[in-house]
Amino acid sequence: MSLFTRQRLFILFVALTNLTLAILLTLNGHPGIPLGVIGVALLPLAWLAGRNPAKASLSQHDGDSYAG
Amino acid sequence: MPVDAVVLFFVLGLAAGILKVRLPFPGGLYQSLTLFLLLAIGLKGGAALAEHASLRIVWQSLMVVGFGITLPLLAFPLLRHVGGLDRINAAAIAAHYGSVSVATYAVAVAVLDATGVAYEPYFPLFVVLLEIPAIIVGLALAKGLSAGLASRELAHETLLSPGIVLMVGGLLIGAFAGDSLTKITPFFMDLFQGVLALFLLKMGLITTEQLSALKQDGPFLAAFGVFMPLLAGLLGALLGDGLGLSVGGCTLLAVLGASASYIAVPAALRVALPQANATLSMAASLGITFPFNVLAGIPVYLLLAQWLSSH
Repeated sequence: MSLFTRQRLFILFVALTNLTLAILLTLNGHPGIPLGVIGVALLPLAWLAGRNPAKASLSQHDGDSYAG
Repeated sequence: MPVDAVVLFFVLGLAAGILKVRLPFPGGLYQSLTLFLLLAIGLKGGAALAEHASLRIVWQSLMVVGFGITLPLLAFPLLRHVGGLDRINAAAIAAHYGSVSVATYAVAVAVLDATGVAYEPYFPLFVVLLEIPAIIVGLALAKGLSAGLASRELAHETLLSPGIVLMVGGLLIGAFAGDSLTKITPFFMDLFQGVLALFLLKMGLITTEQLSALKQDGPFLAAFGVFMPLLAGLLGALLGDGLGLSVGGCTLLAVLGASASYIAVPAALRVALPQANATLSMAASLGITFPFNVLAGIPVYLLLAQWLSSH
């Protein structure tokens, strides 16, 4: 499984976890909207992961920011 | 359910940042507010420690340190194998997520106070204890076990960072000042919520700056910044329940696990891992995890703690 597939599956898992928690909270009379919004916001990121490898490849950074 | 006033100040800061409003917030004021919060939290914990000192706290402290060691070990493989980060950056981010955010803790305390949920008053001791282990584990992950605190400069930056000194100093003053503490109580305790509100206004502005950095650096970190607090919050609440803490205590331990450092760890890693990219860690911890915890996480951890205590 490629790195970007793993990333997409992970993002999808986190988004669905948030949406599930949001539904559970709402059904039990608690405010679930914040988690729901976060879950929905994460969904398109699953699609975006790896679409622009030059930006998304985190290991390619030169670093050095701490030295500044 | 009404939203806590201090949280709404954070939302105001976020809105101002997104709308690019030029709020005149002097850097010196931000530093003063940080100094105030660290001292006030330390003083409060020290006073409580003087009243409640017992062997039970020593045992709980050891378990909390173990918790602080475990968190970066959970984050690191995720960052390496799913995020695809190199060893140095994965270790640096893992260290941030093993350590704690005092601001998130302060918001959680404000929420608990507002909702009337009791908690162990000596919790600032755990905040201090959780600051350091993750830095050492992060360095060991990046450089191998021999790295530790070998460098004198690094040991100084880690153990004597301004945040640690102010909180430990506050703890000691609070523990040994006795009744004379009442002289400074009006300043440090009564003004706490107002100072926290101003601090969060500034944090909202800073968060929007960090978010723009994250836009360039990948969707994975955004998901990681949401996943890690949920996982660590769950483990923290379970540990708190296992240690026999109150509902408020379980909530606070969940919050401490869920929060990520953006003051103490960056200062230490600036010395220890200058080759790591600070933007990645700061964008995730401050741009994603801090707002996640403040806006969505803390009420969830409170509900989780209440659920655990009733089962």
